[in-house]
Formats: sequence, C-alpha cells, structure tokens
Amino acid sequence: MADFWRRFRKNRLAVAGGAVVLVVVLMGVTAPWIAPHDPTQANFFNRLRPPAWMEGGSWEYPLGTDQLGRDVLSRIMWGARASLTVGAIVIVLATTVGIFFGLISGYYGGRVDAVIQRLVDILLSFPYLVLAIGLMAVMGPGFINMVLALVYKEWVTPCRVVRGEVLAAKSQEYVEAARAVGASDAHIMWREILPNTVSAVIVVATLRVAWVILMEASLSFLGLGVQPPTPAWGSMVAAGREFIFQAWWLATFPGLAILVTVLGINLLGEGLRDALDPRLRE
Amino acid sequence: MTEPVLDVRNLKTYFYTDRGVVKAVDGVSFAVHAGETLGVVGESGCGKSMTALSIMGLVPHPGRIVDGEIRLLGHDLVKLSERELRRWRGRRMAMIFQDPLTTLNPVLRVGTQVTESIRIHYGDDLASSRRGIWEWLEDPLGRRRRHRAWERALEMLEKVGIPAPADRMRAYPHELSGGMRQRIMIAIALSCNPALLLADEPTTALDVTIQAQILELMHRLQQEFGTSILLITHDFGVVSEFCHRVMVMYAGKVVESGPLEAILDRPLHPYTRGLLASIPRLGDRRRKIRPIEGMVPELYDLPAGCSYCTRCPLADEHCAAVEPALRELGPGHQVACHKAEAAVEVGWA
Amino acid sequence: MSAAQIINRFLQLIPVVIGVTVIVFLLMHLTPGDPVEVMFAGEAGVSAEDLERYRRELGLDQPLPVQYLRFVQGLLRGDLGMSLMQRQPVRDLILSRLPATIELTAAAILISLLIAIPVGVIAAVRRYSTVDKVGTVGALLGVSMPDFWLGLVLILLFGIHWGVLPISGRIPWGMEPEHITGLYLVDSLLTGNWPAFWAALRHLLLPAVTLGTSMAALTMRVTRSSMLEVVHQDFITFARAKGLSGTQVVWRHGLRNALIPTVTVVTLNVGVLLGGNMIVETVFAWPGLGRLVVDSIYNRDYTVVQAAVLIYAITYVSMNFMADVLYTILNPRVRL
Repeated sequence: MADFWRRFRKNRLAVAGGAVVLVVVLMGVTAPWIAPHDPTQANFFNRLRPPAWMEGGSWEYPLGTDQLGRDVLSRIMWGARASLTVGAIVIVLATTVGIFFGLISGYYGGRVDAVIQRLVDILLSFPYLVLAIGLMAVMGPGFINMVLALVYKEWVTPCRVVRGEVLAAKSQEYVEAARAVGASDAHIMWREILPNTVSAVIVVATLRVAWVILMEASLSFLGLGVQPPTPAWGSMVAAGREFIFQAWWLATFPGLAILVTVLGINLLGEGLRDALDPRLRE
Repeated sequence: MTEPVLDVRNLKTYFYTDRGVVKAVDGVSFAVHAGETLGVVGESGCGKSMTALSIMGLVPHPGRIVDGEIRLLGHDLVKLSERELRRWRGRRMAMIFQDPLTTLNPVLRVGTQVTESIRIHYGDDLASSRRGIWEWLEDPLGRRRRHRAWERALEMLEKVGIPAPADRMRAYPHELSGGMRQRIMIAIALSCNPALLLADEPTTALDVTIQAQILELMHRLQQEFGTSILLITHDFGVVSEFCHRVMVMYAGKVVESGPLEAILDRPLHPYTRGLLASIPRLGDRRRKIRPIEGMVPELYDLPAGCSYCTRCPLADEHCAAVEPALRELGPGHQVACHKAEAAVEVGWA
Repeated sequence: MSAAQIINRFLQLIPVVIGVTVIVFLLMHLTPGDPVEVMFAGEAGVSAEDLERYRRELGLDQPLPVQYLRFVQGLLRGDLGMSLMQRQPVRDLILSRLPATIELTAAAILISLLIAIPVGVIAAVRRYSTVDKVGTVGALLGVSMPDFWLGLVLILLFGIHWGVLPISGRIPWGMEPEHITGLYLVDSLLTGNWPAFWAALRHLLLPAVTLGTSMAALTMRVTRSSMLEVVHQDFITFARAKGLSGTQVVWRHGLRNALIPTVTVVTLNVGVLLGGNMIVETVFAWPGLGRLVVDSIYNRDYTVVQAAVLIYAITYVSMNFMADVLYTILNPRVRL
C-alpha cells in the first residue's frame, strides 16, 4: 500500500487529476452554499449577459447569464451534482452486478458461463450510446431511466474484468488449498478470489466513471437525460446551441466543465492503473 | 602482414542514464584479419554485444560511441554519416543475432526478408545495363529486378542447406524450425557477400546437435566466401571448435587476448581460467566444475583498479588501486593482470 | 485464414444476431402504450373500434412469440415496418438517409486514421519529442472531450468567428449532384460537378473532424503503445543491420506489426463512432440516420427508432467480424 502511494505520488499528472476531481466533487457537494445565485431563478432583466471580463459583463455573473437570466456559474456548480451522481450511481450499480455475474461466470464455467457470455456478446453488439438512446426512447427521459439505461450496458465491463481475474485466480494454489480444506464455493469466491480482483475493479471503475459522465452528458444534450429546470452540463450545452450566434459562453463553459472533469478522472484512473495494476494497460 | 579487415582502436561506447554513465565498452582495441575468426568471450553484460553493435553503428539510445576508431577495410566507420553507414551495413558488414525467432519479422514472408537486403545493396547490379528512363521503359514495374533478387535469394537458401528453398521463401518465420530460421538469418547476412560477419551468440538458442550443424555451416561458408567473422559467445566450447583467436572481455574491457591454443593451454588471466574451469567436459570426471564466485559488478560503480578484483582469488590492495594495462606475455598473447606471472607459477588452472 | 475458418467465424455470429433482434423487438414492447395509440394520439374522431381494427391489422393482438416471428419474417424480406408518423415504410426512410451517414462516418474514419497512425508512429519512434508530447496531450483531450461540445466550439470558431466553413447541412439547397450513389462527394466526382464537390467537401469537414476526434485519439494511443513495443524488438535491429533506413524500418517492419493490436482496438471503437454519429448529426443538422433517430424519438416514432437501432447493431457486429478477418490477414501467426 505504501508502495502504491509512493508510485502514485510520483506521477504528477495523476495527482493533478485527483486534485481536479476533488475540486469538482467539493463544488458539487457545496453548491447550495457557495453558488452565488439560485440556479433556477429566472431574471428577465439580466438575460444573456456576457462573462465579467467582456463589455457589458459584471462580476455579479462571472460567466454571464443564460436566455432566462440565470447565472451560468451557479448552474455549472449545480450541474456537477447531476454528472457526479449519475456517474457514481451507475458505476456502483454496474460494478455490483458485474462482479456478481463475473464471479459466477468465471468460477462455475460451463453452461452458466456460456449463458452469461452470450448475453455479454449480445450487449456488446450494440454501440454504447445507440443502446442507451434506444432504451431512453422507449422508457422515456428522466434521471432514473437514464441510470437504468446506462447500467444495462455498463455492467458488462466489470463483468469481463472480474471473470478474467477469476479464471486466472482459479488455478492458483491458495484456491486449491481452500477447496482442499472444504471451504464452500461462496466462501472461496467471496473470501479468496474477490480480494484479488479488487485493484483491477477499482482501476476499471474509475476509468469508466469518465465514460459514464460523457454518456450522461450526451443523453442530457439530446434532451433524454436530466430534465430541466434541473441544471445539467449536457442540457446546458444544448440550450446554448440555440443561442450560439448571440451568446458563445452558454455552450462553451458547461462543455469545458465536462472536459475538465472527464480529463481529471481519466488522469486519476490512469495513474491508479499504473500504480496498482500495470497489466491493465490496453 | 596485410592490413586487417577490421581494426578497432580504443573504442569507447558509453550510456548516459539517469543513474550515471555506464561504460559498456571502455577502450577496447582489436583486429580481425581476412578469413579469420575472432572469438569474443565473456559473461552477459561484459560489453561484447555492445562492441558488435558499435561496429554496426546501431548503439541503442541513450548510448553512443564517445571515442575511438573502427576501421573496416581501411575506412573509419565512426566518421561516416548515418547515410553512408547504411550503405555499409548488410553489404560489407553483416550481423546475426541470438534468437532467430525474434530476429526475423513475424509478419513478413521469408522471401521478402531475404530479398530485402539484396535489393537494397545490389539494386543496380540486378537491373539491366540501361539507366534511368530507359531502364524504366524496359522494366516498368521492376519485375525483372525483383525476379533477379528472388533468384539470388534462392541461391543463398540453397547454399545454407535449406531443402525445398522455393517453398520456404513463401513461408512465414514461425512455420520453420529454429535451426532453419538460423540458416535463413545466415543466408540474409551473407547474401551481399560481406567482408565481416558479426555473429552474436548465433547458436545459444539452439539444441546442441543443431548448434554443431550451424557452426559447421558457418565454417564452410567462411571457407567459400573468405568472410572474416567476429563470433560473440559465452561458451568456450564453441570458441575452441571454431575460432582462430580469442579475446576475453570483462566489464567493458579486454582482459586477455591471443591465439586459441595459447589461451586454452596457457590462460594468463584469472578470469579466463575461471571461465575455462566452469565448462563441463565430457569424459573428464576428475575435474570439478568450478563456477566463478561473485557477481559481475554494477557498471555504474566499478572499482578504481582492476574491475575483476572483487571476484579474483589473487587480488590484493595493488589490484584494487591500480588498473592493470594490457601486456604482451607471449607471441600475440596479451593480458591485463598484475598477477599474470604469479598465476602461472601457482598453476591452479 | 482459410475459407472454412471465415465461414466458421461467420456462423458464430448467428446466435449473436438473433439475440440482437430479440432485444430490439422487446425494446418496442417496453413502450408506454402501444404503437396504435401513439399513431392516433391527439387525432379526433377515432373510435375504440378503429384502434382495435388497426391493432389486428398490425398483428398486435397476437401473442409475443408470434409477433416476434412475424418481425423476423419481415426483416428477412427487408421489411422494417411502417413509420408511425410519416406513414411510409421505415425501409424507405432509412435508405434515403443512409448515404449521408455513410459519407460522414467514412470521412470521419479516414480523417482519424490519417492523423492518428502517422502521429502515433512518430510519437513512438521519437519518444519525448514535441510530436510525442503534443500527440499525447491531444489524445488525452480527445478522449475526454464530449463530441457535441467539440462540434459547437468548431462551429463557433470556423463558422461564426472566422466564417470560413458552413455549419449545417450537407450542401446548399439546389446544388445537390445527380443521384447515383447518394454520396455527394462520389456523385459530384462522377458527374464532374466541381462546384457541388467543393460545397459538399466544405460541409463535410467540420462534422467529420468532430466525429473522428475521439476515434483519432484512441487510435493514436494504441498505435503509439504498440509501436513502442515493436521498436525494441530484435527484428527491428536486424532490419537496420541489413542496411535499411530508419524510415524503411519503421514503416515496413514496424508498422505492419504495430497495426495488429491497433486494428482490434479501432474496430471496437467504431461503436463509439456509431453512437457519436447521432450526436454529431444533431449538432450539424446533418440529414442522416442519426438525425432521423433523434427526430423519431422526439416524435415517438418507435418503429423507426427500433429499425435504426437494429441497423446500427448489425453494422457494428459486421465491422467486428471484418476486423477479425483483417486481424488474421495481418498476423500470419494466428489461425482462428
């Protein structure tokens, strides 16, 4: 563990990524207290105000206001909540489901494995966003439906990783030893094999959060995800698109927030991977 | 005496790493004469491979040749530009490596790889006597040229004893046996009839019987083409069968060199004796195999004096303080050891 | 790879494709309400009997397995059902949109490979050089950037700020070249219609770059890392020892080997491209399949969505199949 920490700290980009993630999380958590304005409060006297440093801007609205006069900065701060919540919930659910199916698939093999792997193959045949959009189209837009639509496909990744690790671990002596002393299957899976997959699962889950956040933003951009008036980065960019000729800042800043967050998570994830489990490179 | 084919003087190849300067080759001088085989012997990491790569001008990053001369056929290779050097590589000097599986490109057919160097170096000879646009008019797709290279490659494969060479040309390296692959490497290396062949552990990766066949093949081709060979090995058995002269390297320096018989019968350096004592010999049960004690020192921090003093049973303070120079103690027999005479008297070899 | 092996690999696709059709079929039945209700939603003067009659006509009164079999029968005949909104065959709708999407996707793949492979190779060969640093940072940004945002930024810069490139559609109205393949670039070339070619190219540029960026980023990373492994192999040194120049060694001996892992990763990421397609077509008002899907979602035209999802999935599956074939061609050591 100390070794891991030393290696991780040496990677300056990873530390920077971690810092970015920390800032975004803090921003999301403390948004109700630190945001300068109510993110949903329309103010028709202050519509489409440019950022502070431009002519006509003021520091009251540092990143300007939108078509309803709402403060862009405050909405970005609140928007972090939507992205991070979706990212976290989807990954936790998907990882739980994935670990379960990955464990039994790898451990029992045979018919159980064949059935689960066929299902995985079929799900992998759909391009990610296509399946999510198809599901959202029929389930209807909204927060919970979006989480479900993403989990339906996302569990496949941890499932495959865990299955691979289980297959590798199954032939190891400590598993043989546990079996020899009469441990139950559940015990062996839970106590002997699972702990060995932890580092791989953590690395993959971290990197996948970035992807899920991009997918959430894409769905929200198409109007299928988080519904207005709740602020979300994707839907803010979509709204900004309508005013792209008058107000460039509306689409630019929320998108920048997505970019910075995803970049931070990617750097952090790659740093974790290099420090924890270099085998996982590509 | 005629001028040697290869004449290396005071060659220094250093690696500049984060942990310091590694003197992989440190002031090595030797010569190889026409039709002669020089064996370079030493443990792994002693600089023997790096010497060969320096001659080829293929020292990998972050290493470079910092001093010395490498005269091949009278030209100093160190002074040549990369462009000129490229015309020498494969044509006047060729190199073969230890593991033929990793040395042949796995995704290209054998034929492509054999014809490649022929086409680079003999491109002009393969074409007709016409030049420029006329040549192109005569052979617009280079088909005739390619055909001639192919013929020449076939001829080479036959020379190295490959059965059904036409079929082998269309095979991929992984479809052939290890011995076959090594023959193909030799065919590639000798296809342009180089003056010097650098063979870096050419038989180490092979079975013993195949080893003998490959050495026999190299010997026969040397007679036929008159090639000079620099044979790098850690195996005195190979040396004793194949070489005219031997050079023993330790930690980037030459510690002893001389004619084969002199080295085998009268080894002067304790390291050479250690190496000789560590080979098992058939039918000689009395002699105990004696591995050399200790480890090769880290090349980052070599002792001030003789680099072998940390492992040498004869070493004293003088050895640790003063670096021994090469001295001639017999006809063509040189050694770098303060204790060479004493060692002979002790006679523990 | 022998013909038998290709056929064998092809046969393995069948269960997957069947599974895909089942999921797509079930997708339809997750819809709130049934298609007939959607079709006549908000229309006055439609009685319950009328709805019932329509349901019978569409076979919606049958049990699910029967409906599935009919669905598959239809697919085999090339019948993708009727659009609920436009009241015309879904197949015709999709076919009319397909060329635009093919043109955009092909251009995106082409652009991303043309950038990513040379940059990846140079970055690996000249490690820690400027190309390497810029490429690595660019790739990191590329994978972290939402494509809809990149599209808008490009519109802001090239379309609005500098005003050098058009920002929506495929071609100005009335300039369309004679219809041969439906791909404007190809058609205008075939008919020698240079103004149309130029206009189509200008319209294609921004969407194709937007769509190709994430793929370029991924491809560059894989090319770089696999090339880094290759350049330290013995056969590279041996090729240099033959007298080949550095360039010849890299492109002839290095790239062939480095491309083997690259091909796999690239095709896996074609899925990202197909999904991104919907986003990019929406941003640039590109009249393709992705746009059709998004519009159909807003119009609750479920049959169109269903058919399009199926087509995307089948395309993806067949691309992966082709990747496997290509992989074995590139890598003689593998025999499936």
